[in-house]
Amino acid sequence: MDIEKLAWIAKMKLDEKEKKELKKEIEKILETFKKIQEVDTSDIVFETISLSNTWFRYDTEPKKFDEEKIIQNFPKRENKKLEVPRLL
Amino acid sequence: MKAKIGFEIHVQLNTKQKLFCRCSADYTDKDPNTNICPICTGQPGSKPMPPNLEAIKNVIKVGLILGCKPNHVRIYFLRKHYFYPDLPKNYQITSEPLMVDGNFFGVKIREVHLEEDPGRYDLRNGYVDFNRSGTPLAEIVTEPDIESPEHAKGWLEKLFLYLKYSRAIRADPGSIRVDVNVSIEGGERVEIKNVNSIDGVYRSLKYEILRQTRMLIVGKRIKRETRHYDDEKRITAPLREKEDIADYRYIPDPDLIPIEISESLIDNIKRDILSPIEYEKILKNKYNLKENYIQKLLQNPEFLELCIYVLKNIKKEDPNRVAEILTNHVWRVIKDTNLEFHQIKNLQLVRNIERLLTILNRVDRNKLCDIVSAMLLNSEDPVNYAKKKRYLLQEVDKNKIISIVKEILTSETKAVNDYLNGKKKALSYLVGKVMSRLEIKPNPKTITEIIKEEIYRTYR
Amino acid sequence: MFTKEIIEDARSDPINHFEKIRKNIERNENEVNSFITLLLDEAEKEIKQTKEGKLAYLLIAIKDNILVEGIKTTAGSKMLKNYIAPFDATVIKNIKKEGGIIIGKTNMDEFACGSDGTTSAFGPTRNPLDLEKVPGGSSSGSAAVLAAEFADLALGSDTGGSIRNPSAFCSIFGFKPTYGIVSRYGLIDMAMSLDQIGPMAKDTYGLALLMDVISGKDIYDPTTIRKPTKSFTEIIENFKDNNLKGKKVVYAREFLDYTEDKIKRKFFNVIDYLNSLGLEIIETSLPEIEYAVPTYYLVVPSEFASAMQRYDGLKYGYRKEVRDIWNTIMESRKVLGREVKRRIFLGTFITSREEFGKWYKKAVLVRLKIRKRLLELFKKYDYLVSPTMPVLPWRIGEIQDPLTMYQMDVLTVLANLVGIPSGSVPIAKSVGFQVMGNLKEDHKVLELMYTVEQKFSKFIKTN
Repeated sequence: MDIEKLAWIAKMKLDEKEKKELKKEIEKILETFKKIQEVDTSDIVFETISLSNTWFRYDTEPKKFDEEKIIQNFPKRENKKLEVPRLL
Repeated sequence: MKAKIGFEIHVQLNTKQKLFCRCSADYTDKDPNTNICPICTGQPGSKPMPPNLEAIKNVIKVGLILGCKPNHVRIYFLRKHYFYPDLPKNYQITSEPLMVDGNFFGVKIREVHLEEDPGRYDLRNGYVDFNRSGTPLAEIVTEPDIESPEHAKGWLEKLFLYLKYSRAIRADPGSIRVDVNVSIEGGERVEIKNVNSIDGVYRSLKYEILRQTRMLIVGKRIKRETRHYDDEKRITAPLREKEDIADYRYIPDPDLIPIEISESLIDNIKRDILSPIEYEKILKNKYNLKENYIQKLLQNPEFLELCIYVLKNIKKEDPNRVAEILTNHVWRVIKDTNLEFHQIKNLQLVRNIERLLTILNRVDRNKLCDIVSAMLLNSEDPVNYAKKKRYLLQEVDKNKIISIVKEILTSETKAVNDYLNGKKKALSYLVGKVMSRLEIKPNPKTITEIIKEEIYRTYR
Repeated sequence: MFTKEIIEDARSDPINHFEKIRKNIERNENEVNSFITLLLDEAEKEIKQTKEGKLAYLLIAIKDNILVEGIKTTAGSKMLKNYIAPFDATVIKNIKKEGGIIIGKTNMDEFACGSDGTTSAFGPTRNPLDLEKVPGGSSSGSAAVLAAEFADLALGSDTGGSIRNPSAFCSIFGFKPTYGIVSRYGLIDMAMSLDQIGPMAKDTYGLALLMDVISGKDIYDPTTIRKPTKSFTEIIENFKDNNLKGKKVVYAREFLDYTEDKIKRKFFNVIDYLNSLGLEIIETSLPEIEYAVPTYYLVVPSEFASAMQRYDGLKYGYRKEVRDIWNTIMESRKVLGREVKRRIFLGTFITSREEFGKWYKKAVLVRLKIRKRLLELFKKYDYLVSPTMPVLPWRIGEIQDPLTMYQMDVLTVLANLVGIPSGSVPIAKSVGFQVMGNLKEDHKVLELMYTVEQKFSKFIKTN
């Protein structure tokens, strides 16, 4: 398990100690769970858990939402624009 | 050198609402972050609403135009995970293929599917605007059947003309995004991401094929990579390596129910589609329009729709006369004043053109545009307006013309005799002489008639 | 019925009723730590207004992963410490429409990742029945609130037992509806295909009352389905003792293999009683249970990792700004707790390209296999029962090892994997009896719970 690569994909930063511990924990967890491989699933087809049927929404006149309620949570803003750090 | 070129084309669909929420899909000309809601900004606890039916229909339309078949299994929505500031949930909801196995002018279409657009990230200043986030996109994936940059350009132009006709996509220019895949013999496939114009596709291909050819010549290996196109420098350049490794970890989106496309839905949509070829046939065979009128009409789908309405509903007129007014004068007014098609009252236009045609012969040609302008913008009746403005030659200048004709006939005795002896050319000569004396040039037929009348009266 | 007494009390003198609750809170909340946000001033204003509806004048505690507009919603995490909800969850809209008053947002395991109430960034909640012990989780605060009489009713959420577990440990009633009966719009996701919001109360009638208000098809959540019955409260009110005669109740012997003796004994007391009422009791074997926890803890982190992608500190939540965007995101996400991180890593790993087929896809198929097997069971039987928890509440901080903690869910995850309704009835101090029913038979589950309540739950009133 490439814990560095995982950390990058999940955008998480860990220190060396955390990396070691987490790697061990996850490996132990997977070791314990690997027994699911022995279950025969050849008769199973993927389907959703929801019992709802296909549902479409009619394209009527748009509805306006008060954007202030969302903008109030922007950590940094310039007027209504969300301000984020630069891409390096 | 023969190339293998394929595309992934993103087009914005023509809907009122966004794909999974009720915000407006028209995000242009709005202050940043004023066209948003909890769903399209990925707020904690928000979930997508059922997908916009019009978006589904539009994707199907696009697929049908491209000759695709519907995918008749349960179609799931997937989550495509990657981090980017303009992607609020840091995953994009994208569907499995809705339409598959098509062919458009010789290029095979692998599939067409539905996805949501991210917002806009201003890289230079570090600003994000979510107005566009969540608007519906169709993605068209082709097989690598395009063979050259020229082929690519022509094919894309045709594609966009046909898509315009379907009304399935938004009419805005510059709202296309193409990922270009190109490989040449002996080389791996290179992807050029996010080219925003047909010209850009053409130029990036020209550069890239040259670049790849050069590499092969010096014995270098073309590796599989993703590049981006710099329109200013007209080159392609490699993307940073970290962005190259993309593991999107696709999982079916548990918040959404899979779609099933029924036959009746397809039939309903099929009935709505007309391609340019079919319109051309109608204009030629049903209305006998001249070629130049047909080409002018086919340029703009909304104008075409308006003109067909007029042709269908106008009483007993020569379609070519009608087309002349429409393509010459009506079109000019629309262009010059940026008149919107939905502002034109179709039936009133039909009646007005009928009225206009009754005085067409008596009207100063130069003043036609003004009359048409008044018709369209101020709802003026063309006959009353022309009378009011003294554009009707008969009323205003008939006496003047008669006196000039008398003068000419007196001085051009040779021509008059020639005419009386059967030389038709002499009549044209006399008409020309009268015309040159007039500032406002009426319909030559009018002059002809007046001259004939005078000659008959005088030389009876 | 306890809730009916509460309603009577609340409606005859709302202000007095509110003051009693307020006194309880002021006296004991410091020790229990069941609220993240108390809304006493707001509630006081509300109680003075005229209220109408099924929940008029009732004080309701809401788990802090359910959005209440204008109020901080934290999901028990530093990441959302100052996040002000921009909208009401659908269930909250419904509660407000029926005159309910929200008294506070309750403490919970961070982002619902926990089974004992100790992983909240705002400190652990203590079990009011024994302050050294855990109240259970992840709806720890909601359960404690009811046990300590800080509210009349409460809402929790349940992904693998998060309502039923603390209900058992705090000796109250909790119910997880059939997947899709209650809208998740406005619920901060844990695992989208397992989560359900559900009611918590001092009796079955209270559960039914809340179910009447919060259940139903909702266009804001396409996974929802229509209510299975027009009125849950009517079902309870019209319930007659011999409604259940002849019904078939099954339990799996594997359930008892996992269970402590003391709890086993209490469980069988109930079984014997049901038998005496004329229900048919059958013991069966469900070897699939062995795969329940592994399947659960593979599917859930996969969906959880996806749900957590959005927390990057950019558009809301905690932001630690450093030189560039990627590092800012990583530094900001550092503030997430240990268990949350663990699940994100696990989920990211098993959905990655190389591991996808072996782990994620397999887990999903095994889940569907378990579901298939269990739904076959319900073709023959009406109810599946078990103890709610395999053990009694442990001391706060006693369980640190993740695998040990995960095992505590062995009896409750089944209902979420399959999507079936399940409720917990308190039958002894910190012991719950779990009733599961077939899909969309939520009202039938409540009926059996009501029957068990009549005989075994009287003890909780002497609190």
